[in-house]
Amino acid sequence: MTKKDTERLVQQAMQQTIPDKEALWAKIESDLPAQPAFSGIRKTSRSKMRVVYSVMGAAACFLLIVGGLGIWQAARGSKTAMSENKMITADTPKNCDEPAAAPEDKQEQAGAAEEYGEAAAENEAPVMEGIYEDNAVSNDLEDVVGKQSLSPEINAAQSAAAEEPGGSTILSGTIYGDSVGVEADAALRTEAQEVLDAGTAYLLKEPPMTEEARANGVLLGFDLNGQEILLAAYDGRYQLIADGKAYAVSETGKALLDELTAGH
Amino acid sequence: MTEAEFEQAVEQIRQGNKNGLRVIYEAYGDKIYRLFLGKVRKREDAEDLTSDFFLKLWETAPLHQSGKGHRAWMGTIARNMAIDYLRHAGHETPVEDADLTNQESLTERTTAEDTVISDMNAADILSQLSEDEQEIVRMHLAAELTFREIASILKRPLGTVAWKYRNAIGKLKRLAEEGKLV
Repeated sequence: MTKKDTERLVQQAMQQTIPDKEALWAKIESDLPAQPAFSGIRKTSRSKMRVVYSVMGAAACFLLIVGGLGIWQAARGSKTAMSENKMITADTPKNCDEPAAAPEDKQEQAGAAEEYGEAAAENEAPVMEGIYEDNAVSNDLEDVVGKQSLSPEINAAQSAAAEEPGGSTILSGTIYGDSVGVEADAALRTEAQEVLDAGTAYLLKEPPMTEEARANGVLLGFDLNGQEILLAAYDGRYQLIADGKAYAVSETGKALLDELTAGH
Repeated sequence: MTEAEFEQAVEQIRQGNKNGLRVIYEAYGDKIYRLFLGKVRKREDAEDLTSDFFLKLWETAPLHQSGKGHRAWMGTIARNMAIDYLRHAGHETPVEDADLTNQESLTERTTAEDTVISDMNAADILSQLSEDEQEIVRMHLAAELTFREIASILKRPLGTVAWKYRNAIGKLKRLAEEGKLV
């Protein structure tokens, strides 16, 4: 039995569906309030502030106009000789009819969000620290790749290409779920790095594995002097995992291997 | 459902159109149900939680920031709801607190009142795994979340999630070959 078969077996056992989907929807629909709390408002805090600033802008325009008229009338009524060119008039601000642009105010936004309860904050997808800060994987790609199944020909091609001319297999490919794992035997550190480089390079250049790897990461497993090591490669970075612990994330794998194998 | 389709549905919700929620329900209702079922183990409770989830989604979907990965976002909401439910119901320690080496069988935790349902087969299969492994396998195979989404929901590094999943499948494969899987 392959790992793929195992996955299929387990997935089949977990394909439960809502027993009566229509009935449950009817229940949900009957419990729905007429309007969502945030209906018609895309970004509540900004909308509120935009209204506030619009009112302020309109009020400012009004005052300027009134003030300008007052000054103009005063100037007309003045007995001081003035030339037309020097008549004081109030300049009407540009775009007075348009609402003033709402300046960015993150504090106000945060306050407005809090005003709508903790649910707003707790329902936000968590922002990951460290290696996830610039996670910019295209969601469209994930949606496309997520259900892609790799053809047997690709599996065969992967295994075949990994065999050395002498016939011994240094890489054997296993595709499980939507990530790719490559098992490699390497007794020496130098060989491990070469195998790692070769395996990663191979997997990342062959479509559609390239898309799979980019979307979900490449997992390389190998034995190093009896210790199982996994290297997860994604977004151009590597995470070394051994004994259930993640050691570090770096731009290349080599430095991590040196650190890990220092005692061997 | 693509991000664009989700945003369209959210826009409908903003306008008070229930069809927007219905579209999301049709796309993800079963997956959300499976997530809850894996946590609470009772079909009735999983249905109640699913209903509560979509009622909550009706209120909070307009707050979702576009382009932020709606599946991981909803998965996080669902997981948090399940954990809250287990805590308030006085159930055992939620999955997130389980020790990595915890090999306690899930069947030992079920109460006498639990309804015997067909999906106990899935529970039996997964009972061979640690709590962490079970959760990841359920999220990936039942809820069809990618490793990246799972990592985001569980707040774990992507490599760790993939590694645990790999180990889990490896264990299940060995058990299947030994004829020990249901």
